[in-house]
Amino acid sequence: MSSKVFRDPLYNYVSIDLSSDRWLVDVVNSREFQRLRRIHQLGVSHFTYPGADHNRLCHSLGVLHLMQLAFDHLSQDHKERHLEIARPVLFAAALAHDVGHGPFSHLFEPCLGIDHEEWSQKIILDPETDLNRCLRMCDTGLPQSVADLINPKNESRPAWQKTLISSQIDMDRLDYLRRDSLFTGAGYGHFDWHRIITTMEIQGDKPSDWEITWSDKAKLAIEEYIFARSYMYQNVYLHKTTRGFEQMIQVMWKRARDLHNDNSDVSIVPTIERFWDAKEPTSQQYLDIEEYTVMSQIQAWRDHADAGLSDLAARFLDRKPFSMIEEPDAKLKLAEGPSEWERALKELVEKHTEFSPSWMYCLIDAVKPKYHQPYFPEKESGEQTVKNAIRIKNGAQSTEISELLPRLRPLTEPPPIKKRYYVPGELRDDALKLRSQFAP
Amino acid sequence: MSPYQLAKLVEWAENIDARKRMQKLVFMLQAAGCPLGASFYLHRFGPYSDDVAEMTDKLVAAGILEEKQTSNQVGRQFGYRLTDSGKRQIAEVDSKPEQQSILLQMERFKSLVGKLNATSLRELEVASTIAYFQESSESWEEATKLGCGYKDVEPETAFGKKAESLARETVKGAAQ
Repeated sequence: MSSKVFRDPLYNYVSIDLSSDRWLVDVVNSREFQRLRRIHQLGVSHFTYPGADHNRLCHSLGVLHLMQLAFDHLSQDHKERHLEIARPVLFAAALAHDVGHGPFSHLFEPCLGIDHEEWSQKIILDPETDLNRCLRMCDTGLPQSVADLINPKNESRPAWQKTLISSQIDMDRLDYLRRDSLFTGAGYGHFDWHRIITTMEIQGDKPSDWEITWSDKAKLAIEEYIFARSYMYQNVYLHKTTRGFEQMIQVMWKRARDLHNDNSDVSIVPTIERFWDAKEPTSQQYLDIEEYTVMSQIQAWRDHADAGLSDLAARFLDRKPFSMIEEPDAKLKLAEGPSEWERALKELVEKHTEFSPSWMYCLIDAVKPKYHQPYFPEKESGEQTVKNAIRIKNGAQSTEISELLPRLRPLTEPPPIKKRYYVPGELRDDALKLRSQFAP
Repeated sequence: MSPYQLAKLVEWAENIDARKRMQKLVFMLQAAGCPLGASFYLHRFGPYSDDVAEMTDKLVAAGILEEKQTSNQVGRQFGYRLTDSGKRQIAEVDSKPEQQSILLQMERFKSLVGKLNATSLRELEVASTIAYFQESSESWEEATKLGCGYKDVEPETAFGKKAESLARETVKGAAQ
C-alpha cells in the first residue's frame, strides 16, 4: 500500500493513504490550500517570538493527521456504528477548515471586516475554486457537507463530527497548541495528546444523539491540556507586544480606508482596491489578498504624505512597538462609554499635536473574556452538551470534568480583565503618571 | 450584549431561576427585536449563547448578580437576582441622561420579560427552538415541524401548540 507522506516536526510523518484517500492529495495540491503556505499561523507573533514563522498549511496537515488517528480509533472501537461513511467529510474538513484565513490569520479579520469561517465556507462552496473541484471529484455533495460541518451555526451534521472539528477540545486545538509551543519556543503546550485521542468514546443510542465523551483515564491528560491552553494564552496568544502590533496594523488600515473613502490617494495596491471597491467580493478577490500584498502596502505607506500613516508604517516595519499601559482598575462597570481614565489618557495624547490624528496613537485592546478562560464549561447540568462542556463518561451518563477535578474550577471562572492601552514610547512616562492618579 | 443590558433584564425579572431560562429569555427577547447582540447557536437544549453565559458569570464575579445553586432532576441549577450593590449601580446608571436612549430602546420589552419569566422552562426551551428554526425557515409550519422534531415534541399536542403560539407571538412582536 503506498502513501503520500509529508515530514512534520510534531508527528514526524503525516501520511495520506493513496489506496483509499488519493483525492486528499489533490485537495492538498489545490490552489487555495497551497495559499495557506503563505499565511502565518500566529499573525505577527514572530515580532515577539522570532521562531513563530510557521504557517497555516503545516497546521492543517497536522489537523488531518490527528483526525485520521481519532477516526481510526473511533471506527475500531465502535464497529457497530458504521462510522466509515463520515471519513471523507472529516478528513476534508480537517484540511480545509482554515482556507478562509486572510493575511496574518485572525488579526486581519477586523481590517477587512470579514470572518474567516464564513470565507472558508464560501471558498469550499464556490464552484470556481480549485478546492471545490477537488472535493467534487470525491463526491458531488462533499463541498456542502464540509461547509456545513465547519459552520458553527449549522446543525445538519452529527454532533460527534462537530466535536472533532470544532469544540472545546477538537483536533484543531490539539494541533495548534503543541505546534505553536514548538515554533515559538515557549514550552508551555505540552500534554498527552495521544491519550486524549485514544480515550475518546461515542455515547448515545440514536445516531442523532451520538456524542463524544472521554473515559475516566483521560481526565488527567485533559487537565494538562486545559492548563497548556491557559499558559499559551497568557504567554503567547495575548502577549502584550504582539497585541500592540496587531492594534497598530488595524489602525493603519482604518486610517487608509477612511482616506480612501474620502477619495484621497493612499497608494493602494490594486488587489486591495478591488476588494474594497467590490460590493460583494468574489472568492478570488478575497484570496488575492495575501501577506505579501499587505506588507507591500505597508511599505508603500512608509513614504506616504499622511503623517500618521507613514509614521505607523515605519514603526511597524522597523519593529518599534508602542508602550502598553494597563487599565488601572479592572472593575466591571455598568455605564456605557469610555471610563474617566480612558478619557484622560485620550486627552493626554491629544495635547501632543505631533501625534496626529490622536486616535492612531491611543490604541485600545479589549480582549474577549473567552480568551482569558482556557476552558469555559456551562455549569448548569440541564444546559451542558458536547458544545459547551468536556464530559467524562460515568456509566451510561457523563460528568463535566471540573466536577470531577475541582482544582480546574479556578480556570473556569471569569478572571478580572484589564483593557490594554498602547501609546507611543515617548508618552509612556506621562501616561504612567496619569495612571497612578486612577489606581484604586 | 452589555453588562447593563443583562443586569437590567434581571432587574425586571426580579429572579431568574435557571441559567437555561436566562439563555432562552435573551434569545426570545432578541427574536422579539430587542437589540441585545448576543450570538446564539443551537444545541440539544435549544438556542445557546456563550456571550450570555460569560456575561452572567462576569456580573456575578463583579458582585452585581447574586447566584444561588439548587438541584433539579438532572443535577445543578443556578438562579440569579440583583445584589443590593447591583441595584444601586443600575439606579445610578439609569439616572444619567446619556443612558436614556438605551433604556428607552429596552423598555418596551419589559412586559415580555415578565411573561417569559413566568413560562415553564420546558415550554420556553421548545418555543425558543421553534423561533430559532423560524429564522431560516420559509413558513411557521416548517419551523414548528423542525423545532418540535428537534425537541421530540408532537406539534399537534396541546403542549406543542402552546409552544408554537408563544414563539409566534414573540416574533410577531418584532414585526410590529
